Amino acid sequence: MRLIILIFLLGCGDSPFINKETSGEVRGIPGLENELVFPSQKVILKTYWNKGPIVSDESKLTIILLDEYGRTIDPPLKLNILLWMPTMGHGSFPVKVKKLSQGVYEAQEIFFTMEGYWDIHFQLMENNKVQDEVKWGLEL
Amino acid sequence: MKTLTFLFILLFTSISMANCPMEFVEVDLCGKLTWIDGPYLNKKSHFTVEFWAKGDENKTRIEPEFEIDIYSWMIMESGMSHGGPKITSKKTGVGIYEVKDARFFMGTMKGHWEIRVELMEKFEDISMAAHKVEFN
Repeated sequence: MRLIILIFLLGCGDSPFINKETSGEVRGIPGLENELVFPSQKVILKTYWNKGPIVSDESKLTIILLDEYGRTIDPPLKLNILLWMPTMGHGSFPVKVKKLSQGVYEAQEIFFTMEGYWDIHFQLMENNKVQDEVKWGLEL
Repeated sequence: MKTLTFLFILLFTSISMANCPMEFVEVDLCGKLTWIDGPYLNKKSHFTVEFWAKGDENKTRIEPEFEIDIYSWMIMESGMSHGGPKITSKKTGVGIYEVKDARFFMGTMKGHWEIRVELMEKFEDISMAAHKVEFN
């Protein structure tokens, strides 16, 4: 039922927070939600903050993966999320990715340990190697 | 003579550290951090912190008359420092607090983690002591 409501909400038109323009390697904009695409796999990622984003305390992010027809799909490879603070040159505690249902995942234990600019890397992994990657830049 | 003085100071410091591993100088309290599970990198660690009056050889636990704030702190070789993921502590008895969700990571950082215990009153820092985290 939750999934049906979620899919219905996704079809309600563009959110004012979404900016589909991209520049350089960084895709997406800071905000409450975002839409990204894994180019090689043609998988669309829609992301929504359930909690946060906040410094120090745990933030949680819902991720919905869609194919080109808007159907929820599981990622073709293992989905990994990496936090990185490029200005400081370090990461954070490993993010846990939990499957809620087909194509719907929750990223837990997201810890931004200081204020500043962070990149959230969404990675598709095969044999511990990154096969595809998109980034979401956030200023906290 | 210099060597003897140095050894005496070293011995005195070691005994003092053993008796009062975390010293809250401003309030004559001692504390000790004990690892229950950990410390680990990239997974949760579990520890307790207990308090007693400075000079009490029996180390009888007493309840500090302050609010207790326990948090992790990263001190980098570059000289910068910052906090870590939020920690929750729970009082489990008189003068003893338990933490089950300490999270440490390096993420290419060079430096070390500390657990800091701060005694506070009406949001003001009264005294602070730190425990350096050593990973095996």
